[in-house]
Amino acid sequence: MSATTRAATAALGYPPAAMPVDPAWDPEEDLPTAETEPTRWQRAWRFTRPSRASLAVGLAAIGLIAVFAIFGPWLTPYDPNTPDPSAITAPPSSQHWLGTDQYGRDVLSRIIAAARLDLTVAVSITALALLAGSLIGAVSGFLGGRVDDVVMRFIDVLLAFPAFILALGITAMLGNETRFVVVAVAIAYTPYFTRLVRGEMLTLRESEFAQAALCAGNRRPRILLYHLLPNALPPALAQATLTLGWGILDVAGLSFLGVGITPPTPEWGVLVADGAQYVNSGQWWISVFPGIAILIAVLGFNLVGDWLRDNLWRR
Amino acid sequence: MTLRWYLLRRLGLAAVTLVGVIFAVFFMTRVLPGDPASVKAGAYATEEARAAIAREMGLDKPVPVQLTTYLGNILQGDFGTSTRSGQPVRQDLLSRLPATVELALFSLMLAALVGIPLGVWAAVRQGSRVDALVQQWTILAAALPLFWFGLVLIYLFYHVWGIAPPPVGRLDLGIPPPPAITGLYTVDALLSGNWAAFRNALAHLALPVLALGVATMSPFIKVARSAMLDVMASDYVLAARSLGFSEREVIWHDALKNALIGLLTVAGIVLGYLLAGNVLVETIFAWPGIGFYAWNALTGSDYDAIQGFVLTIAIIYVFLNLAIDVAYSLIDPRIRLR
Repeated sequence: MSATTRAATAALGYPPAAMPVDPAWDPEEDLPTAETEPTRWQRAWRFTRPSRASLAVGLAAIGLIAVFAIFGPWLTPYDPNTPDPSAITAPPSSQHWLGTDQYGRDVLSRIIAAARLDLTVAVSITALALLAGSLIGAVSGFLGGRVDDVVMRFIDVLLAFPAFILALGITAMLGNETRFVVVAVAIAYTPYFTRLVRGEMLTLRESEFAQAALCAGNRRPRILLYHLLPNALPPALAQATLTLGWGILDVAGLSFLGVGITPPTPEWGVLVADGAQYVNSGQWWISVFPGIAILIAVLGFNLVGDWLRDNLWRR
Repeated sequence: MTLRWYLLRRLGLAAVTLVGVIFAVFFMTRVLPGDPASVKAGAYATEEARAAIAREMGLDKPVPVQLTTYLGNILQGDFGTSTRSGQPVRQDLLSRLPATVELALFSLMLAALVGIPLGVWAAVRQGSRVDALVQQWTILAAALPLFWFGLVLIYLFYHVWGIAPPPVGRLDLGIPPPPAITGLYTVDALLSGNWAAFRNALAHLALPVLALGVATMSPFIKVARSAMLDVMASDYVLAARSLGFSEREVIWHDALKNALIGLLTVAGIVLGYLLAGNVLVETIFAWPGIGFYAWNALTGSDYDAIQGFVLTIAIIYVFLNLAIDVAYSLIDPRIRLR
């Protein structure tokens, strides 16, 4: 920690754990009152001056992809699916900024058109995994004992598979449909949320406010849903942001292999696969530009997810 | 807990996980919505053809009967028969495993040999420009789509600069493979003194290893950096420094040795990923390993082969985890006490 940061944090009145504590200090005396206690978000924001640049880059990357996804149909310079026989594998030029593919379709238009599908799929995967994973993890951690043992053994089994192979196996068996890809990849990422939320639950369960809520006569399901689960969610949110990026990578990888989303639907992995055989003969732009789109999206989610994890997770 | 007890317990745990994995593969294919028979029959099959295939696969029988048959076959080492090659899936996979292992080991070496020094360097110069650059690199490498990166490497090294061999297979067409001893072409070529095959095998390894090595370097850098930072702040490093040892000696002798323990886990995880996650890279480079086999099975709807591949990967993972835990407990006895 730099001297400036230390001075700044001290001025804010939140000495980090590493700073020496005045022996004469009586914690009872200056307990923070309810209105001055900053939220987890405020604290995260104050302490992270150095890493705000990466957060900004990440948000900008996500913003770009989101603009593509929302305003795609108005942004594409050409129709993404209409072939142009007069411009087949044309290199990048002023007419086709990122060139055209083997059917003369505009690469930039196809990249923009694919953003909506990729982002929708990634969000669906993450939402499913977050929902299923947090619920299972919350109940398992809250109940503890035999139930918890069985659930965690099952989660260990799922974690014994690499997520990509698990998703590949499931999609291959179920058939090439977008909804099956979503379910398959969501199943692969559910254990990560389960483990995380269960871990949070184990400590939250023993907390004083949980005991207080119990004493006040709340039923256990109510305590679980309204008192404990909201407190376990911030770390799960950080994990969810990272999962958005991994989901895009996995879906693109699967469709690159011909599993899941198949041509001619514009999807980033499909676009890279479209151009793969032309790379050997020098028509690099068909594959390279869609790959950069994947890179930007994943980088964005990773940067923001890392920032959230580093600053929200810690208590 | 004694070492023997720990090993027994850990072995039992691995067995339980393995049974769970077999169950998971079974239920994944039978219980989830979707119909394996119609996938196998293809999009244009008639209802009768689909039903015939379902009967042949035993899908018309009750689930418990299917499960018993399936478990019995797996326990006898019968993973079914590939419709593409006509061979037992187990034999297909075993004959292709050495190619995958060779690729994985070389990639692991590259990732560790470059990643660990980079992490140490970043830790020693914490907060410097080097540290920032190394950290930015790990973030970028983690976001690289592997299949895309492989294509970029092929374009640059094969098409533009012409220094890499054509991205097909483990050896040039005219070069006969060395006599099979380990199945790893580089090792076999060395053992039989076949320099031409050795050089050619290395040249074919270069690009896929570069792609996988770069993709798996990040965890080594991250863990090496944070472990070094922890160790450098410890009392015994302070003691070594105050005794007047040179900074170089402190870093490479006292600090790194202790930081290496944590890197063992990383190596295990990365090796597992490499053995499994290279379907993409093997496909791009037409590398005749189990990943390429799986891709061929996928495109040809070779049902038993895909299932056998997924199960093999899971088995490899379970045993790899077991090996890491055991190695860990031998190196660091404190683990056993938990």
